[in-house]
Amino acid sequence: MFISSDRKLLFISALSLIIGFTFLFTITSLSDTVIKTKQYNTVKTYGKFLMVIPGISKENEEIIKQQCSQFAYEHFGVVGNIEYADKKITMGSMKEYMGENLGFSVIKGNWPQASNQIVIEEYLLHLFGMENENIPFYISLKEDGKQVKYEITGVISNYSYLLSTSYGRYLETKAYPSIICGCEKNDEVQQSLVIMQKQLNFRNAENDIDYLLSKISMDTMCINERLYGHGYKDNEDMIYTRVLYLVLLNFLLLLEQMVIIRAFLLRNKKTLFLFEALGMSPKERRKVIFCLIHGFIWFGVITGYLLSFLIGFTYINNIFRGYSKFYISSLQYNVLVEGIIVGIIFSGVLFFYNYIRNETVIRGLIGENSRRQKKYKFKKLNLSVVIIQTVCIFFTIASFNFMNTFSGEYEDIDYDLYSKRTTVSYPLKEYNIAMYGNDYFSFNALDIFNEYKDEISLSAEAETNQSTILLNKNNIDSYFSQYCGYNDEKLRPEDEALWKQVANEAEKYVAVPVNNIKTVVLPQKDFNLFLKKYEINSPVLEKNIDIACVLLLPDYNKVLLNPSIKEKGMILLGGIQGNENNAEFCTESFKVESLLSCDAEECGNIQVIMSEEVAKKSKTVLGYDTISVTMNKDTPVSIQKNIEQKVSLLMASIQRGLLDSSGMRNSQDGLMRNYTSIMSNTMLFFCIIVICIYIILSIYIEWEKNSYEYGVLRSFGMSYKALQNKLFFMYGSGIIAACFLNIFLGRYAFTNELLTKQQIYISIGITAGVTYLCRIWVFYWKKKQPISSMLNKPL
Amino acid sequence: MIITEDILLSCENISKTYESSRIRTKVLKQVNAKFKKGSINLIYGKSGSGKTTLLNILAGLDKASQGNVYYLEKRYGSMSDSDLAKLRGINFGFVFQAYHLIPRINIEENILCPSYVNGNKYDKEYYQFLIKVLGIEMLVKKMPYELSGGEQQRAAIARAMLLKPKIIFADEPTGNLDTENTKTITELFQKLNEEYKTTFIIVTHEENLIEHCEQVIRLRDGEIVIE
Repeated sequence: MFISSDRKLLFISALSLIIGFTFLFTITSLSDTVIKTKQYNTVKTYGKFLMVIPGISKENEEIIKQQCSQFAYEHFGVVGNIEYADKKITMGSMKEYMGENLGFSVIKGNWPQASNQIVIEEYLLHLFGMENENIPFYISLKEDGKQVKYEITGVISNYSYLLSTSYGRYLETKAYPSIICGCEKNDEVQQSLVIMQKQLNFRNAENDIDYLLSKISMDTMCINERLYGHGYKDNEDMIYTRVLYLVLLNFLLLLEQMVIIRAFLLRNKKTLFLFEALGMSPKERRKVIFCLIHGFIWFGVITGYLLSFLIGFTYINNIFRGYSKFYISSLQYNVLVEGIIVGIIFSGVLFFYNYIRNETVIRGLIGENSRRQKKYKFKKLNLSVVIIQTVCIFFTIASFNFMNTFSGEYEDIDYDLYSKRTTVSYPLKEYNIAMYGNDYFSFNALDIFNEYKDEISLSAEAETNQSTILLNKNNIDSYFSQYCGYNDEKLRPEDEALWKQVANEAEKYVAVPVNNIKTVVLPQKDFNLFLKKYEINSPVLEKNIDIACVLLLPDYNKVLLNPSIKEKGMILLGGIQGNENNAEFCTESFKVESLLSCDAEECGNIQVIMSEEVAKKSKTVLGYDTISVTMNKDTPVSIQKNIEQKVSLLMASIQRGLLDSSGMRNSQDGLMRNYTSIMSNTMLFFCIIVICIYIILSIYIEWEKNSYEYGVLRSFGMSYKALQNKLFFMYGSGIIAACFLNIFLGRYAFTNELLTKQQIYISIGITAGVTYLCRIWVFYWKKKQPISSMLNKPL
Repeated sequence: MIITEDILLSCENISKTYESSRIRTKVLKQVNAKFKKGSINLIYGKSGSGKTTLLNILAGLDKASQGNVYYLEKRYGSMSDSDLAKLRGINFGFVFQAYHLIPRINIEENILCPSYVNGNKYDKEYYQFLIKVLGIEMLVKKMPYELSGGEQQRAAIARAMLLKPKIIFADEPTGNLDTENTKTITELFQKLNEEYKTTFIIVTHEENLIEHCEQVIRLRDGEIVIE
């Protein structure tokens, strides 16, 4: 009861601790929750393996294990191929835990246990036409020429077609089964080697994969690049922000706590020395201080924990739905860690304080101090004030910068499906000869989107087997001459033989290099919109009367003398096709119903644009190499999901290729937008609170410490206002100094040029405004204190 | 109240009540007093009689709960805090029982404190005179805690006199001093009063100062007993 603290001081101190700890725990735990949930989803979706090598021999396996001993190795079996509707589908065998490692998620039913039980990928349900069957059900599949009956016990979801995202790393589907059976491992079953990290570490996954690739070089490998990408890279901003905010929040909290402790010790200095004079040992005195301060801080920690629990769940339920799983564990972990940090720091601080302080009891009581000060105690500049204001301005600016990163509007969602057809081609004079070509999307690939015509727009790049625009040798205008070159290289003997087969026809024309041509196919609805956009009024095109197209030429000058291609004229598309032994020169005429010029930056290549109907009629267009699906951003979520499912099924149906989607980026961006908005607003609010509390407490300390001296000065004629002005001068000068420091810091910290000038001014204005609001509050707080009571105030 | 030319400071029906959440203490009750120019006045009474409170109110260091204080014709209540502070700075000097020297600056800086506060230049010759007369010439560079009680009080007197104030308020100036120092300080007050016509209002409970003063205000339980 002898230890005092006036109510206002106690209230402000308690409030600052509670707010500080609540923010710290909420922000760090929310961040952890979001990161862990995303990583959990990554593992669930894409598995946690690094690499799968199918059909590896025992000798090679041993070599790999010796060279790469830091990894863990598992196996699964590849039984073989089964056939259904002329499609070969790979069947594998593995235990359920291996399925989880490889990202096979059971979305319906159960994992197979017996050899006649299987789980199948979702797209196969559609292939088999059995979407409406109740699981389990039976199906007869052709295996090694024989019909075998299997019980389908479940459906799995697998993102194997998404795993390799660069053209340099091809996905070989033999590595990855689409059907998994419950058969036991036996020697006849070809084993696939699964390489995993011993301890899952998303950050190291990319380096581990690169290391493996440097040691292993095989044609058929499956690499899980998503592990690093989705597990770490996508979360990198959040991971760094979490660390940065943790450090800074701790720093600000520490500053506040130092101020609170100082205020408390100052207030009770004489009392504690008096206790010592009356018989309390220094050790007991230290114990009292230790217990009181720690008790107070732990009160803040526990209250902060409880409030974080409530606030965190409110955020999760309203903004981060689906992310609640890890919040409690993250919160408890953070509270424990923070409690230990706080305990160690403050024990150290108190120990150090007691160690360095060597005031005798009497000095402590009468307050003598041998330290000489220059003149009277009005600092022009206070370093701690400069630091706190620099940090607050910096973090206010950082909040705005962070907010700006994800402040863009939602965009339409794009899906780009790449068929990755295995075309092998090489140059033969000015032509490219296509040797093989398969696994492009068939014409009916777009049919699955028919019911969503209103929500999406489609376009496709045609697979034309290296066909290009052929121009009459005698009529190359100045426009096309920039494209066409002549290849005088001597042919190899085998190529000579091939060239001889087509030379008569091929030499009549000059081929526009195939890389400069893009053949675009649009479904009728999209084609009509295209015609409308370019104001093309052509019944031939609208009704698909002829094999007609629109030609889009970058930076084309329509007023050319003797143009190679004329509007309403014909163009020839074609090229050399064949194999090692035979070559054939193929051509097809298209009517150029409309000839358009476009900005080269906008359209890139020369584009031959035709409708789907025309593409199907033509013999040049064989199918689609890439399909682009654009979904309107306002499409309802349920329809979005359906469309996305169709896209995924389309992708999976060719079991190859790549899928790139801005949809996932949009949803990620949406999450990041919410996350950064919360973090930014929280940091902003916390900065304001911190600066308020710091200023008020530091003024309080200054006042308490020097009240006697201020009383003397006031008694000799210094007015209250003059006194306050002198005290506050250092806060004004602190802001100016803080601004200069922030100019320096900002150059290095905010390099993305997202900040506007207004935001910087607002940041400075907020800190300055809050500082002066505190000044006004403190002015009126102490105004009524009589001078006589200041003179009687103990030191 | 009629104020004549001779009256420098006066108070009318001064009452002071201290209030806390539980207790209400009336320290001064309807005190009336006048102080002439160039006079030495004593406010005399036992501990707890309200003398220091009255002195603080007269000096403008505290506010009365009721009543008015006039310096010449200016009423304290009508002045702003800044005006009152200016009044104190130019016209008043203070000598406190506990000296109230600022411990972190040396004696010279303590003495020159009024000059710093009021922005008024001080008379350097007068300053030299003061420290000589007060016998603290050799002590000006020392820190307050290095001086004895008597020396500190003399430094406080020098501070109070620096700007040649009209009134010096002294609250138990000899309360912490021995007999010899008490005598010295008392003689000093008399000398300054004779030479500079400074008005002194001294709070004390020592009877030996009574013979040298013009007016004695005796307080008992917050009321004037004999004037």
